[in-house]
Amino acid sequence: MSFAGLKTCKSMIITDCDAKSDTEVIARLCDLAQEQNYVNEIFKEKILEREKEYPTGLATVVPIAIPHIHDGCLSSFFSIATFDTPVEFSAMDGSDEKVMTQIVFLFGITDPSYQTAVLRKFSMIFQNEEMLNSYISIKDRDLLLDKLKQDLEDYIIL
Amino acid sequence: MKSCVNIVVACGGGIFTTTVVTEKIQEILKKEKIGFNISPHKITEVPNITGADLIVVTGKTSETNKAGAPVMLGLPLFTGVGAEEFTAQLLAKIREIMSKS
Repeated sequence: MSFAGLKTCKSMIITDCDAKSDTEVIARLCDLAQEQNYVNEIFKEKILEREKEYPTGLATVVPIAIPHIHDGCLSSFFSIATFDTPVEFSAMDGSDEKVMTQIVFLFGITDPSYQTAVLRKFSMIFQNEEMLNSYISIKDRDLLLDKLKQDLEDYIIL
Repeated sequence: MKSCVNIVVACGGGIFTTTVVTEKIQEILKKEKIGFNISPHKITEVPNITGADLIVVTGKTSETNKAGAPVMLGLPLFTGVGAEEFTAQLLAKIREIMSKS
């Protein structure tokens, strides 16, 4: 294979998530990833630690957060949680502004040098207001997975 | 006049934003026909990096580089918000660095 994609599945998608804090969202997505054997038990601890020290809230066209790490990741994956009530993340740029986000993309990356293309693809999506808004509005997990397949093409491994 | 600029890109984990921002900077400098070396680091390493002409970080840091390399926040290249302005600032900085002997 000339490039590696990221694994995901319906179980890695939470719509209408009722988590109240950044920590709660991250912990829930990590638990799902562990159930799928994408990560081992240190992943959650490490990614939460990292979020505290280097937060991942981004004031993009539609504000998002992108917790990601490689420690404890067994196969590269992404997961997504969307909320009706925005959840507060600290900003990656270190400004005191909080990022109120309705979407969290959580990634585990085993080796970024093999995954440049897919990371780049995601960075394009993060700049696309229409795509991000559609992810927030699709409440059915099967439909959201279909939409992600359509947008990510071969970069998604089901 | 330097023929080549040494750039370090650093983020919190050295994974996601570093990978994308490094590619963007490579693209910009190739287009401008500016010679460069570029290497990824973690933000925690910023104070002690040696031999860099410029450090571009994608996360929060109040650190400065002990060897005196300027530090710029390159997040606009990742988010696209303010990317054009950042690109202009980046090129101005690099040209300033390269015009020194």
